[in-house]
Amino acid sequence: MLSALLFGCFFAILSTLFLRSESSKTGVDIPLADLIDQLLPQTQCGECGFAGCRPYAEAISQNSVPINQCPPGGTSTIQQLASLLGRDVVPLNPVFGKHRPFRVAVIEEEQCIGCTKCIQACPVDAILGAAKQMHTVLIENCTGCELCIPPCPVDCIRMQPSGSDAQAA
Amino acid sequence: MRKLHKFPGGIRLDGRREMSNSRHILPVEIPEYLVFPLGAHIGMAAIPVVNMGDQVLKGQLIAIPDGYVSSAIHASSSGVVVDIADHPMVSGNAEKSILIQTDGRDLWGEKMNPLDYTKTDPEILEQRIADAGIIGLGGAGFPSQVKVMEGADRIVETLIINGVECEPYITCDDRLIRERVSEVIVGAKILQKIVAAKECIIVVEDDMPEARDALQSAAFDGQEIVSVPAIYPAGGEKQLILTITGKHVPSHNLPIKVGVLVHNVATVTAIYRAVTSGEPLISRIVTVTGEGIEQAENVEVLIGTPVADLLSRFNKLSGRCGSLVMGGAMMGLPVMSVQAPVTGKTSCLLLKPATIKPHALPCIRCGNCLEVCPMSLQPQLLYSLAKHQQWDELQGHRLFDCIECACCDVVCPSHIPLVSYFQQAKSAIQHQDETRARAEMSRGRYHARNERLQRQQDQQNAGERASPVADRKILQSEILAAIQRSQSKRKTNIRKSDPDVNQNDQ
Repeated sequence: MLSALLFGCFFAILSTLFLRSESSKTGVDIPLADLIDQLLPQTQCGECGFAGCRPYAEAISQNSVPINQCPPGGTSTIQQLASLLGRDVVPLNPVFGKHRPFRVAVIEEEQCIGCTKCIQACPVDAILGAAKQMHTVLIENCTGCELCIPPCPVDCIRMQPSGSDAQAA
Repeated sequence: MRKLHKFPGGIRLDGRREMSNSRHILPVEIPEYLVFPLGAHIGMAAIPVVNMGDQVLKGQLIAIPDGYVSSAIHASSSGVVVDIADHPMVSGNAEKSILIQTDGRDLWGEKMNPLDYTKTDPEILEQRIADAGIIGLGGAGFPSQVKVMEGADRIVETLIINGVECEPYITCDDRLIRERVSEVIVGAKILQKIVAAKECIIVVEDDMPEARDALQSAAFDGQEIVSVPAIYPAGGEKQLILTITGKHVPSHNLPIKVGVLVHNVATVTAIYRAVTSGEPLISRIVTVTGEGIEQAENVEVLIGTPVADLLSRFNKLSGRCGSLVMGGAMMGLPVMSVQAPVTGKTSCLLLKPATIKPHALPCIRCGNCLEVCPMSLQPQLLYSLAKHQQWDELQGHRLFDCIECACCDVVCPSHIPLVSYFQQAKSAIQHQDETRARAEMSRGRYHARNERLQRQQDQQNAGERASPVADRKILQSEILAAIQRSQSKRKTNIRKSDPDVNQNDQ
């Protein structure tokens, strides 16, 4: 009888130990907003209505907004968010935009007047140039957010397919 | 006799070798156009060094390697460069290629000096392999010089020359060994010298007795001829290493990790030609076979010959030409465009009657696929994970060890196209990894920018309230310090160069 009780206690301790190590493995210590941010595409386009991926992640973590407002992430991001948060998979809300293949910005360099407006708009410092000098996009750093397009006074920025998507196209 | 080991799984297939293995290798006439895709090899695409309108001679260098893992390309006949543009490949995708209109004269340009391999340094022989643009002719198209260099830098216990054509129908290596045995033997000797291999083993299958006998009668001392059981995929690199040496090549590693180097027999003869006669890689032997061809042959084809030109010299049997495959029946690719050229990777063109693929039925978990998998994977589990897009779990179950040999496809009673699921999963995982890496970088840059903007804002705010004079003073002291540093540096430099000045004066 006593031995059975001891045995039970032993298992209880063991299981709590095991569970604790499990929970630290799955990263309970990481804030929810960080986990959400890791699933967002980091385009920083602001199409979701927030100033970037991080602010949107924080809003989602506070349960205040739906998870279907990220057009660059599309369905796969929605699915990943849903499984992380235990929410239902819902279609992308078309109010915020349509999902499209990854593209990068390219500056038509003959037309660029060097106004630096696009440089200021780029959320990831992926445009290089100086006042009255031609600007250029560092395509390996471009997220395809298109925020540089509206400020350009001479409409010399266009979007083009890139990387593996370009080969597939 | 060497003790052979057995690799797991594998299946015995109907070889269908007799269709093409009894006839001599034939030359093929020069086509009107030759197509040289810049990315015909594994690694970075080559950079063209000719322009449109240039006259080129046979063997002339037309594109140079771009970086370490890349390859040079040479014109395989004389003519004029008519275009450098996208051209359809076997897969149907376009790839940038150099298009040459031949002049029919087949004029050789200046060849590289022939080398006597017995008196030449290994480094020079190695450089010759690179200069000749030799890539693995076994099917992968990996630049040979890179493989050799990896071998030359490390200790090579065993050099294996792979003459095992485990795929059904293909006999180009069999014929090559029978007809050009001295090229194989000497080529192997050259390679052995470059990588300083302790032993050199030339391997064929046990259903190639003529090739084995030819090798045995010609082999040098220190070269061993081994024939392995004809079980598909015995010629796979990892399977062959296991069979011969008993060593397992770990996941994500090259054979050199276990001290082994494997080269195909055709690659070895290309190395022989590059060294002894200074000829770059401009042709290869291709088996044209299948039930749709009246008389199957092995032909020596100029690299760059479009598939359509090659097929036009064969009589096709009507009603039996359903599907055209480049490569073998098991691992070959369906030819989506007959304008695609023959490259170093093309070992076979297979014309088969069309077969209607039965509908895939649900997996019944019979475990047949598990038994035949030569990499000891669990295809039925990988299939279910791939179907549910469980990318991380797939990698945990060694998806990337799959060699896509299609043994599992053959034995599946439900006709599930397992390999195509695995191929799709592999490319989806690669795409996901790229996307993740990009997102990670973007996050870093976004935060760095926000921090910078914040810092500027703080400085502005602080500047309005605190005294800007103090800031300026700090700045000025920093400038002064910098000036002092540069002045003292200049002084020491002058002092150092002083003796020289004096010497000059004297």
